[in-house]
Amino acid sequence: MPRNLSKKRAEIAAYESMGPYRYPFRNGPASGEIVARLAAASSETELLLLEGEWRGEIELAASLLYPRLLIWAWMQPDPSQPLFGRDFARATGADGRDGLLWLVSRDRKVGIQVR
Amino acid sequence: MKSPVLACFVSDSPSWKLVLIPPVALALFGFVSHLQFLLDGKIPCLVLPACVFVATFLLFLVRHQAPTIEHGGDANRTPPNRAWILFCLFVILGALAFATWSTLATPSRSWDGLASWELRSQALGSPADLSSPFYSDPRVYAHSRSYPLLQPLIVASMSACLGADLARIFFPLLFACLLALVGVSGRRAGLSTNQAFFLVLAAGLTPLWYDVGPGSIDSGIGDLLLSYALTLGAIGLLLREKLPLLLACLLLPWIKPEGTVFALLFLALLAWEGRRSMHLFCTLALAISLQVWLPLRARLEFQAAGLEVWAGPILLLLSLAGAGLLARMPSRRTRWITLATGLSILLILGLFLGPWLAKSHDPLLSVYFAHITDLPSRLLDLPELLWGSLRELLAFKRFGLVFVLLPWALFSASRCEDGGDSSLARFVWLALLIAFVAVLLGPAHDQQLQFADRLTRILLQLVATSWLLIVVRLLPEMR
Repeated sequence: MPRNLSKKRAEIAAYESMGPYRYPFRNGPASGEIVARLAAASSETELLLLEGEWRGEIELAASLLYPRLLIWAWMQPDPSQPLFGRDFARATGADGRDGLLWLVSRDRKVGIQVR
Repeated sequence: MKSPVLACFVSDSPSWKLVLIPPVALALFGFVSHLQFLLDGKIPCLVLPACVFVATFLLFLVRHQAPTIEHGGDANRTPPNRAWILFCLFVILGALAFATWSTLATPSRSWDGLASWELRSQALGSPADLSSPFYSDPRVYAHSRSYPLLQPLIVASMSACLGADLARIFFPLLFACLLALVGVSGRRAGLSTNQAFFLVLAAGLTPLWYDVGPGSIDSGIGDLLLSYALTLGAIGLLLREKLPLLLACLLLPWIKPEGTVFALLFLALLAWEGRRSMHLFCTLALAISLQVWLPLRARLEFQAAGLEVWAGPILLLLSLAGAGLLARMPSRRTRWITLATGLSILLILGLFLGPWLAKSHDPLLSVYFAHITDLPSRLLDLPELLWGSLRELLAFKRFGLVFVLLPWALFSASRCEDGGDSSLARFVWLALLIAFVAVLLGPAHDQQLQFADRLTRILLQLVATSWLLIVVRLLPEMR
């Protein structure tokens, strides 16, 4: 019990210092940054386009980003139109062009793109 | 007020009724909620407290004059040792306080707790319903949308009643209910007060409950609730009580996919032991449970309901036919030969149908049959798998001494006459076998994960049941 108590204290302290988006990705901090950026760049009522695999870090990302919903891009042919009365999240890319925010799930990792 | 119908199920002991309130309430809540969802209804937040109230009312309505079942008798019991009881209470309350603190400090910190269980609770909303696009539209990404819903429903209801920050108090409360159930059942099985407190202490201090990662009380994963329902069923076997077994068969399929396997195991054991009326009640309970859950699951998978609509009657028919067949075989030898033949046929069928079953929408079938064609080559790894499983069983830092002492209890129970103890021992044997088969059917390339995750979690679900058997069997002279 004392050993578990100290492990728990360390776990909770790590959660509090890293925050809810980065802590679950503590073994791959880049993904935590991506999810934190996505959460900051979109409002809770917006939708995010998703492509790639359904397993891996995307499982955590979907939960952390909720109530933002992740929509399979291959099932949504026209993301310029709102879905469920909600708009798709948009952002400005590194090249300065405005586009839709995409979440890409590859090799069990998550990535972000503006298209 | 007398209620002869209820009296068949519950005997007149206030502490026994008290520990049965939570499972009866959960069964009522589960049934009402699943039915409402099938009818496209909503679950207002007051349904859960109303179920607790109705459960209390129903249980305390019973005035059954039959003597309380006390398996060991009171005559030779050692008197309660106040210092020991105070010590146990102090330690258990300390452990519960620790679990409550670590549960409420943050949202779920474990992968499955966060990715599956917590998300599904949030998506149910308040009042809980399945109209949100998360549940109703296949375009929305949802990793485990069609997983059983009872725990997310409970947490969503508690979140609506108490607020999102306090909703997770469900987990330490459930753990306290589990310990109370085990302690009171120990008393009913004939343990002295001192021994019952020892049992609570042993079951409650298993290290894995408080560890970091999956399985712990604060992980938010359904293993704790499954452990509660399994222990309930095991207590029904030990005490030969209908209500706990019936409740377990009702609850298990609504908690996790493997719950259905354990519920079927209870039915098989009751049929094997020729306990016809109890088998009938439990079959009915499981049939009702599957009848309200499987069509709902088909809807969550965006499939047209096929055989799911007939799940209840099919189970009823097969289970009663199986029990009838066994009843016509008085000799044990004939039964064993029939069982071995049946299992061999199932194994051959499994090998042939494996690839097809692996594509099933059922999460359990798809996971466990995905690698069944590898089974012959996996048998070559048998020594390694056995050694890995044994190492896991004896991992003191995870399970303490429970699986070190269990073989003695199983051996001791095998020497006694047919009774509650031997029923429970048979259940534990078969549940351990299921845990091993789960590892055997897992992917060969991910063996370490099989031991660290799958086997560990199934073993944790059996901890309270195993301690019950150990204490009941290994402290008999003091009973």
